[in-house]
Amino acid sequence: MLKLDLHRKSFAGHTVLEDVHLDLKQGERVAIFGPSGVGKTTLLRIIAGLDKRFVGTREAPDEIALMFQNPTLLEWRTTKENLQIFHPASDEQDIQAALSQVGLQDKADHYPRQLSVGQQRRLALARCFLTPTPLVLLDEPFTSLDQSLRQEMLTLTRAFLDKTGSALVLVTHAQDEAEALGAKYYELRNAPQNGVEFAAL
Amino acid sequence: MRRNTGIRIFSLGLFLLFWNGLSVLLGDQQVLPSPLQVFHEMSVLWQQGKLQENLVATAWRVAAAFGLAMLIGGAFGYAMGRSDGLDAWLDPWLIIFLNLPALVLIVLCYLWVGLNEFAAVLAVTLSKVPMTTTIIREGARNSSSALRDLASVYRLSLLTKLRHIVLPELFPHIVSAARTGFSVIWKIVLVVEFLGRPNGIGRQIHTQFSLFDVTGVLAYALSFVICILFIEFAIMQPSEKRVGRWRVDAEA
Ligand SMILES: Nc1ncnc2c1ncn2[C@@H]1O[C@H](COP(=O)(O)OP(=O)(O)O)[C@@H](O)[C@H]1O
Ligand SMILES: [Mg+2]
Repeated sequence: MLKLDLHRKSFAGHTVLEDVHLDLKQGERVAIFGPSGVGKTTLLRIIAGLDKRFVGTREAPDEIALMFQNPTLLEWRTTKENLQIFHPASDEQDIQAALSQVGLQDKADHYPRQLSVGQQRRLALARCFLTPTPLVLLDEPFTSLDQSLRQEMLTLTRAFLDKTGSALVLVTHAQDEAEALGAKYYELRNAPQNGVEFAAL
Repeated sequence: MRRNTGIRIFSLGLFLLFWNGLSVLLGDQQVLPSPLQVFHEMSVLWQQGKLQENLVATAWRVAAAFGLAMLIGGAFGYAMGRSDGLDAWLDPWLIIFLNLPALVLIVLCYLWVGLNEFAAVLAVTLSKVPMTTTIIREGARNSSSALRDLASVYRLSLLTKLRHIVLPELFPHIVSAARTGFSVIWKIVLVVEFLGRPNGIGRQIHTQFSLFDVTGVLAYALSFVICILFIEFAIMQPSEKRVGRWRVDAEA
């Protein structure tokens, strides 16, 4: 499903990632852990197809969902429009269902600035899972949240993943997040002796 | 929204009184006519149909140059803000054009293209494009790369991206380009008309000037200023407010 053979990724001659191999089956979940600046976001952007300047090969589904640490919402569009714009094929009912699932059914016509931090995060989560995709990429989506919100987000994410059956690549700092989502746990070490292998078992 | 409306209106009244007092003090209508004389002249010109005719001619030029400058400057500004390479190539040109006086552009356009409508609109457009480019470029430079990533992964269509991401994100810069653009363009249009058009407010001011008719100059100038203020309050500010609704801070 997802197969990445990354031989080298450098920025301006400075190698960030070397020999990272990923082979993910349908519905498989992995978490990538590593110190700040080791190249986790770089790796995720390559998996997402956003960065094509690397040495190696990538094979990935066309439909991918992505979520960052920041909710990254369209502040000038309402909650409902924030979902519709990214999921043009979904109808009113799908949108309402997704909003209810994250507890935003009464906020359809609010602008992001009128939502609390937690509500904004949940909206970003709904956007990520509204249309089932074979692959979901999450870049530290639970970092810097207070404990109760983090638990809530983890529970919601787990429910979404179980429902859609998507494969997951999660970048995180915390091991318990990987466990909560049922993801296998890998570490990304400093280049050039990265040598990470994520092979499907 | 607009505070102290009473004070503003009162202050405007004071200005008219001041003008009237000065005109009485000078006691010479050739030098400074009273507001009433100017308003009377305006109504005479209106009845003759001259005022409307010239206002429309000028307004058309302003609108054409404004639209073109926003489109061309917007496109260049966005492209330069997004691509460092392009920016390096085009920035020196931008600086040259930014510092070229409008008068030089006007004269050159008339000399090269001829004394026609196209040259007139071209000159005004060219003198405004660099400023629009600079303002929009600043907006494009500050645009969110995370949103672009998201749009790319979700494979949004070009039109969707433009409508829901690029334009709203640039909106404050578009507004400020439109504001400065509008206020600069109508002044340059008057100069263009003054120098080489058979009609328009600028042309009439030229005519009244050669007749030493201060009342005529003021009548045309004032009617144009009234139109500009009307556009400012009836079109610019309300549309700005309408599109800026999302800026409301958490009040739910
Ligand atoms: N666009 C870029 N240009 C140059 N260097 C970059 C760029 N993006 C990331 N880097 C560098 O690559 C390394 C890895 O960054 P990143 O993938 O963001 O780390 P992480 O997400 O693990 O914290 C860092 O040293 C960073 O400075
Ligand atoms: Mg990162």
